[in-house]
Amino acid sequence: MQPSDFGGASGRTRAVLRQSEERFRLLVEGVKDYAIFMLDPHGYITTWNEGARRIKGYEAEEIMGEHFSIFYTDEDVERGHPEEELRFAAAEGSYEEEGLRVRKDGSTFWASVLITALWDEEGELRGFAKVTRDITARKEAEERERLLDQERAALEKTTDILESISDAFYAVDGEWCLTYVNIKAEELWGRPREELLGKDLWEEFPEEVGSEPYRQIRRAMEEGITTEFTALSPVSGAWVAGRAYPSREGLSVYFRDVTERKRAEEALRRVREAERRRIARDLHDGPLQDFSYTAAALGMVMLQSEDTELEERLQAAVAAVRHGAQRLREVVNDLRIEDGEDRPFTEVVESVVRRNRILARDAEVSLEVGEGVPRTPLGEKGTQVSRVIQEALTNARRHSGARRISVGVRMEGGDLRAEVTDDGAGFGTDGSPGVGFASMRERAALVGGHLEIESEEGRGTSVRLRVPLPQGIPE
Amino acid sequence: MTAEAQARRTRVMIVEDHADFRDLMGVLLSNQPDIKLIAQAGSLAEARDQAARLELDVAVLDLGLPDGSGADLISDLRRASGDVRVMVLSASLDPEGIEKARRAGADEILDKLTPLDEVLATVRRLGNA
Repeated sequence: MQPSDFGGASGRTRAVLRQSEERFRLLVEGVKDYAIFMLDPHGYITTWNEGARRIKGYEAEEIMGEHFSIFYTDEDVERGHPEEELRFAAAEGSYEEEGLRVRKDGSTFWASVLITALWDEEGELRGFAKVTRDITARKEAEERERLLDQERAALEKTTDILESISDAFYAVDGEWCLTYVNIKAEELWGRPREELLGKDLWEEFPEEVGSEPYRQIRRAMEEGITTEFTALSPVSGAWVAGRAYPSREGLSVYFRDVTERKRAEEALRRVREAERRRIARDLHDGPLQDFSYTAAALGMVMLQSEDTELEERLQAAVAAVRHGAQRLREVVNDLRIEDGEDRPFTEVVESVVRRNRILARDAEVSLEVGEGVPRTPLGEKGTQVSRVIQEALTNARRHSGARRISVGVRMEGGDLRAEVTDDGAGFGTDGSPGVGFASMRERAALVGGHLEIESEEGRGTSVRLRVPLPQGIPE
Repeated sequence: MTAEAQARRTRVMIVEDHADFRDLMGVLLSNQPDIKLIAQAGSLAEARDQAARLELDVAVLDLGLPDGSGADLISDLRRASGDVRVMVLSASLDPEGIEKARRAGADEILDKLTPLDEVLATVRRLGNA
């Protein structure tokens, strides 16, 4: 601190004062945590202490006489903030703020600043005392706290959303550890989240391993794509439909109980199949019998008019009736759906192929049954697989003009795979795959399977079905 | 017709629920000097009833009868007339039905659309076997 000029004091008093001032100066100079220095009335630096050196980075000899605006950012200097601080301090006695200051090396720090105006006895402004503290650590802590608060608020909001949606939701990290389970998922699984969080998903639900959801969820993780699944859940015993989305952390999985919808679909399907059977029966018992009779009756007249003009005229009519009856017979046979639930699966497939061989007049239908394909009844799965094969064969027979149609069933990694390939016209990407394909897809989904159709104009069509079989089905 | 020829005539029963078709077959068979149509039935029950009382050489069966499949009749016919031959006439050619008829012991299975001379030839062949 610059010695003040206390003009009228006595020598002894002056000596005491000087001693006191000297002690004070040493004290101030030694303070390490505060930059304490003085400015002249114009803002030029006149003293410097250890704290100032440590905080601002300048040695006393290089900073003495410099203007204190050197500690301010360019923006502050431009708007005249340093001078403004001095003016305020001069008018009000002191000025206090927290703001960014610049160190010698150009780096900035958060400073708590107190500027006090110093007056002499005549009321003349002698300069300013400036005390600066580095509060960067505190500021950073505050900022961290603020961000944490923000994050907490965002998380709360997300949690609110995830808890209020009617879908079950859970999230796993890249190691399949459950990181979130919403209340709906707790309900559907029948397990509290406290028991699940931090645990390995597949260890908690081993009965799901190998199921269609398992495959689709793993695929989402491995390939980083969104996947969908519909299946009967071995965990809840309900039909569930859901989606798995890759996330930064791992996966987000939404699913819902669709048992009611499935029941409605199943009922509708049964109605449709009953209807098909009824139509087949009606056509068989009515028009087909009448056609057969008409063909025979005309045949009889022909027999009786052998070698006459009448016989010749009847020839075309008989041919037309026969042709009509044959076409009608094909329709009836296509409509007749076998119930393969209780029959050995391979037998059902063989019978489907046999039936189509009879109906396919211009195409050769081959069948290949791979090793390990179950010979036991497969229930609903067997029925749906055989019907998909039937529908694919009907399409190939009726619309493709194929010469060769091959049917294959085989096992692959616990999946039953069925494939129907023809060398017919194909339908390309523009062609309409038609109602038949929609129905095949529906059947595939019904048993938790997946259907793929590949077709190119002029290159035939391939229908591939994959159905997961429960483990332990005997061959 | 001599007594001998009379005795050698093939005795045939038609089981068919389509009345017009049955009549037509009846006329066709009755017109053949070597064939004798001795019974006609429109259902399994009628056919069983008649078969029990008659000696048959050939039975012409429809598969889709109102009270069941003609295939179910085959064993009953065999019980009544040991060496009866069975010809199935099917409109649908439904593989399951045909399989069933074959397993039950049908000797011939013909499409109902088969020309009549072929039908007659088959009846004769079975009758002479």
